[in-house]
Amino acid sequence: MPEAGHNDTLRVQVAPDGAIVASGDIDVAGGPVLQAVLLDQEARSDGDGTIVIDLTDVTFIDSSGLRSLLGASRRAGERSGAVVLRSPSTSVRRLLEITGTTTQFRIEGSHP
Amino acid sequence: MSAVTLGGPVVVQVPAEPAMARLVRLAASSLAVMAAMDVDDIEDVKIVVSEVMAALVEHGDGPDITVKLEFDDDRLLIRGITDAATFAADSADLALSGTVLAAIASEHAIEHTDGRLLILAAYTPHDVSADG
Repeated sequence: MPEAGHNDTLRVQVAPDGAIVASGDIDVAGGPVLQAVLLDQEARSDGDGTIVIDLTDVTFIDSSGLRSLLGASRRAGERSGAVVLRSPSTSVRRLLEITGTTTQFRIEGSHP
Repeated sequence: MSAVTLGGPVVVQVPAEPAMARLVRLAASSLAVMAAMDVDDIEDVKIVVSEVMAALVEHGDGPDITVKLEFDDDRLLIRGITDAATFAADSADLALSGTVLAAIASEHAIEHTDGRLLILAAYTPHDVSADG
């Protein structure tokens, strides 16, 4: 998979199906990396505006990371699209629940 | 959880850079392991510390951030401080961070005084919380 962005603790790739695949920590350092990739992919997208973000290998997320996901959700809504979170880990799901933001996303698949 | 015996607080001073959040998380999670916290507590401590670091990095303007970690009975106290000439207490990102801290930390406070931004959080492990 081609790499779309990275820092010391986060790698973001684009899968053949167009899904954005994040691996590592999405925190105050990783959030901006993910946001830059999301903005770039959104600009390239010619579909229905729906963005799929695969979170299978996300090991940590905080509100900084969540903000990048919420920003994508807001922009997708403006395009009548949606953000699909694929295989969010227990910690990602918990953060969504704590902040009351689960309904901002479509959740697909469960983390093993 | 068994109380950890420390000769004093653990103080970490790092450059005020986003990449340093992970380093401080690692220090805090190591301390949580030493205190025999369980896996869920350790994950919670990491989130609390990460929220403190994120707020200080994004809202401070000093060259460094100091985080003090210490136990008060069974609670882990986290105190982060940096310079901040101005401070927008009503920012949306701070509100989201505050929501997370309110849900996970047993107490938290954000103070801006004399050009310094101070964030305090206390974490009480689940087994202690359950015991009342």
